[in-house]
Amino acid sequence: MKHHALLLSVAAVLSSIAVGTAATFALFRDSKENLVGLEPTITATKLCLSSARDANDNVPGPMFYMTGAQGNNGSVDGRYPLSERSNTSPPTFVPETPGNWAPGDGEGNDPAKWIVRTLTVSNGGFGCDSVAAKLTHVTGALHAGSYEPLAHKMQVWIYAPGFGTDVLLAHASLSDFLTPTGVELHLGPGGPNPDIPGYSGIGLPPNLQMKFRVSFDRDTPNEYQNGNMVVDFTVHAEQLPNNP
Amino acid sequence: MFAKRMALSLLAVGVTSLIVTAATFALFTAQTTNQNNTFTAGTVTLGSPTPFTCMVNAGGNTNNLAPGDSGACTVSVTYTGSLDAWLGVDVASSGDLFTLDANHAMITAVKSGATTLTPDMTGRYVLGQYSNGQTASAEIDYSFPLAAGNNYQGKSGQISLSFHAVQSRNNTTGSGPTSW
Repeated sequence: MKHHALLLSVAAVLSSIAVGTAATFALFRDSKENLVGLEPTITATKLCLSSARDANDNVPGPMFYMTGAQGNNGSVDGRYPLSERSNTSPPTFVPETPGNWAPGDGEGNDPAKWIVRTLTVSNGGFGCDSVAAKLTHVTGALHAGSYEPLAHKMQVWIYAPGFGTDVLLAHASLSDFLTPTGVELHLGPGGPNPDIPGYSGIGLPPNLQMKFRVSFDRDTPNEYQNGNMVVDFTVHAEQLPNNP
Repeated sequence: MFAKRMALSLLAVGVTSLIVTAATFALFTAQTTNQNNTFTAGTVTLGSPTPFTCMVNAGGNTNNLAPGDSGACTVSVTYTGSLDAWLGVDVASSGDLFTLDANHAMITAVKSGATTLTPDMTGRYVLGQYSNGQTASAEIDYSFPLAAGNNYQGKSGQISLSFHAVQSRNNTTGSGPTSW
């Protein structure tokens, strides 16, 4: 009861002050909303990625293909089908009857036997000023009619060159890329996500080269012969600022 | 009582704020796709062998062998796989003509063209490395010893061949496959 009375008294005093102020406040005044007659503009930034395969033939075609025609970029056939097998740039030609993937391809510790293709991911450009980005994960999507079991017999490594030595960003079965969450990208085990600076419209857009190495498990049985699949790889990114 | 109500009210506001925060938290995202990456597993396949034909060096036919005869049987097979492959052949003989006693008929050589082959560690004869469309031939030489006795009259035997192919890429050591 005592509290109640006190609250009522304070409210009464405040009301009196407000009424008194309103009654006595009178001054010359003026106002302008905008001196130059323009509304100030606040624009949210953009995040716009693009990518192109880059094996010394920077074009927007697929990284992996069996024949030059499958690697066509819309006008020119791909230069490095599977018979170009090493990771030198350009790949060293390995003469062989045009063949497809054989169990054991790309395995082992000898980089000369790896099958590696490069994807250059750019941030901004082409009219887009972009915010710095961190690459979070890679997903894959199978085309209709693909032989899905084949994905379980292929391994994918993703490296980032340009750090003196190639840094491993991810390693997983290709089938793991086909899940909704895909495979996360980290600069080494437990490391941060790789990032790309933002683009302010000056010079070339910043980019990160990503090497995709693929191998075909040596223990793959006969029933996988002639299995075929077509995969779209998607690199996902988030804004880097304000993103712990 | 008042303090308790106040605490409950604050708690409710806090929970509501958390829910609103979770629902509205978002980051700008983007993605880029590299399309149409094609992966095709190769094939290792053999066509059907040609008929297995045998001859007797001295003439006649192999249904009327006499002690002292010798001859050869030939067969070929076309490799039709997309991957290069090692081809090999297993050779076996059976029947009384090849087993009856110490004077039985025998296989004297297995050849690929003019080359006499020796079996590898698994007992298989390596015919060589082949690409799609190439044909491998095997020749099996035999002899029927002159010492064969009358107990061989009317006896017969069989020579059986079994062709095998295995990818050569990632599977080569020296002049043959690492494993069949």
